[in-house]
Amino acid sequence: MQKLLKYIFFALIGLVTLSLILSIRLPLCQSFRIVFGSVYVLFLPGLVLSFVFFPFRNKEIDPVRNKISNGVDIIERIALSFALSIAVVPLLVFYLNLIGMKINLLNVSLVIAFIILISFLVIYWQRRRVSEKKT
Amino acid sequence: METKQIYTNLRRIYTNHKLLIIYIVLVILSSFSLESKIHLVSYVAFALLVGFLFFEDKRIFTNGKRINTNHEYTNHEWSKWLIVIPIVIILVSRILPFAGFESPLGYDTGIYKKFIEDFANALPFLPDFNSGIWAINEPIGLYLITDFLYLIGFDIYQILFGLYILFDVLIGIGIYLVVKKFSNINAALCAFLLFAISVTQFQAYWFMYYKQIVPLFLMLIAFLLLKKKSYLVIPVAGFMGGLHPMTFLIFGLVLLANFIFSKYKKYLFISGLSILTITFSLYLHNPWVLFNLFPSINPLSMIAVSEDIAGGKFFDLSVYIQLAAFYLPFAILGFIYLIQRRKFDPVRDNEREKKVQGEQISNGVDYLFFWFCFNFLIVYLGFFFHNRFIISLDVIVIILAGFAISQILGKTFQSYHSKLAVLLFLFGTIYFLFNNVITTKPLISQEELNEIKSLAIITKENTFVMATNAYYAPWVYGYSQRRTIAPGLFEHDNKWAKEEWNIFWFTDDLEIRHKLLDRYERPLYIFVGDRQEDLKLKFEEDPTLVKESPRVYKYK
Repeated sequence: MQKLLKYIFFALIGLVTLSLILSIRLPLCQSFRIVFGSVYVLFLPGLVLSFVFFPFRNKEIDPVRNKISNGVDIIERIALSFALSIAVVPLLVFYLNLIGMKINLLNVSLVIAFIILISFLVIYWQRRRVSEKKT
Repeated sequence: METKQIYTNLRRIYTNHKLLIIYIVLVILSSFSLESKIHLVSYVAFALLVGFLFFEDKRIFTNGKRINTNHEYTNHEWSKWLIVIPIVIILVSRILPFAGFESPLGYDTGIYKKFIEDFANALPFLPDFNSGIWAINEPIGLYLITDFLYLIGFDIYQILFGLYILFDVLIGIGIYLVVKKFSNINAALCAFLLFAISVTQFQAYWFMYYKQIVPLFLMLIAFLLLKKKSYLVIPVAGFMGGLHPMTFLIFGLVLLANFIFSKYKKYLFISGLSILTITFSLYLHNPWVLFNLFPSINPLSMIAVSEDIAGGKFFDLSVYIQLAAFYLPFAILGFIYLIQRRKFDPVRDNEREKKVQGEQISNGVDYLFFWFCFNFLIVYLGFFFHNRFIISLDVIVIILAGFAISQILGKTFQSYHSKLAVLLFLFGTIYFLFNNVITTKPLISQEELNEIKSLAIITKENTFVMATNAYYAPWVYGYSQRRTIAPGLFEHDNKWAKEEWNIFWFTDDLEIRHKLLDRYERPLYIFVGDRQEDLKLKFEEDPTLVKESPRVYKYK
């Protein structure tokens, strides 16, 4: 958990720095919106989804199946995060648009928030199952 | 001299890596555009190199087992953070063309700009199929992504160029991951570096094949997910089909071939069927988009395609062979490994098989084998748009070369000649790439572009602007912000047939030309670029055409 918080902290520092660098050429508000918006749209949904399907690191032992897991390392997770975000979010918005949802900032943000929330619930359930198995 | 002695001498040359060094020097010399004699010698050295690499390697590995201990095989894994080097090379080479030019990338830039704008303007919905805009004839996948970025505050240029560069880096990372999964980290780093220094990939980037770059990344990730037997491949590959049918065609063929030969039929069947369902659902709004694969449906579009660069035409196989000369012998060797063993890292694969119990070591490399076969056949046999398939062919060639180079380095990196060969290789390839980056000039000058952009200021909204040449059509279409008439392209070229365009270009009879122009709404603004000096001369003599600026005429 501490390691995760450390990663989040450094990621935030990096994103703020990038926003400040971009603000040399863009208005400050827009540069923050672009940097954090891109992460929210192009990275976060895929990252959370990758934890749902690949909860373990490379060669880590899966305690539920009791064998070496088909895990992913950090670079693999980053690439998967981009690929899944790029594929899953537009697909979901496209299908929702077919049934009448408007494609605007609010709706897209809500769809992404929904993906993240559901994924977190699945991850929470998976973790509970693992800890139950351990005990 | 006896044959055996010749062979022994030649083998000594190879084992000292002299032949490798000679070959690299020859390729560097030929990249200086020296006479074709150098090319001929290069090809002879190429053939010798492939042959000796193969026979020498065969002595060390037979049936996946190491039998000769004369060479030090190193299992030392390089640091994964070395991927920073190719990322930096990609970023520098992709950003450098923007120094001094606003829009330095290829022919399709204006078209993508207009399509992104059309899709953004239609928000909060997708463009209406009946609106008649040209963008609706496109697969919508890419524009779903660009719509989101537009919504969060990106401007058109940031989407057009920033996202494009990001995807180019992501392809490199995709290659790294695929090679790492199918082989080892050293091969992955070699392949990523080859991608970064590949002139073919730089040219693909420069030609602005946006729709082809994005699905290439997704295809690599899809192969990775297939190897992991993950059902996440369904949304990734399904969406890829909605981005670019041609890339999806290769993926589909590979999946089908694997389905026939693989033992994981259930997984591949469910995945394949679901992927197809998702892909076809993305074309529900306009199924005819799938048939736009065939450019000859609209005979007028052939006017554009027949131009050297127009129509997004990529270079052919013979040019590609020269551009990829640095790593082609290694790719051939990699392909030979593939056929021989269907495994790229015999030593480590054997160890892994012993170590990892329960994990199936499948013939996952079949994906790569079929990818190379289908892609090469499409290019070699000259199927429709075959030159465009060279981009994905280069990716698989890089993957194969990465495998071979890492094996050769693993065996012989300790030797002095080997280090010299690596240094020469790096110097030659990086020089070749940056020479190409610097000498590849934009297809349109900044002055011409400024004049096209000024049309948005000097003309009223809904005015028609005519590009008299398909070469300039995308720029006028994307940057003038006005309804564009161009030969064989876009939604407003519906008044003239192909023969009438020919009359317009070549006639000296003012009356005939006026009759043709009268068919369009007036005032009509006509852009004549520097490539059409002869037409400009004719326009100068026409009193009904008022010169608004050096390249823009107004027909009253």
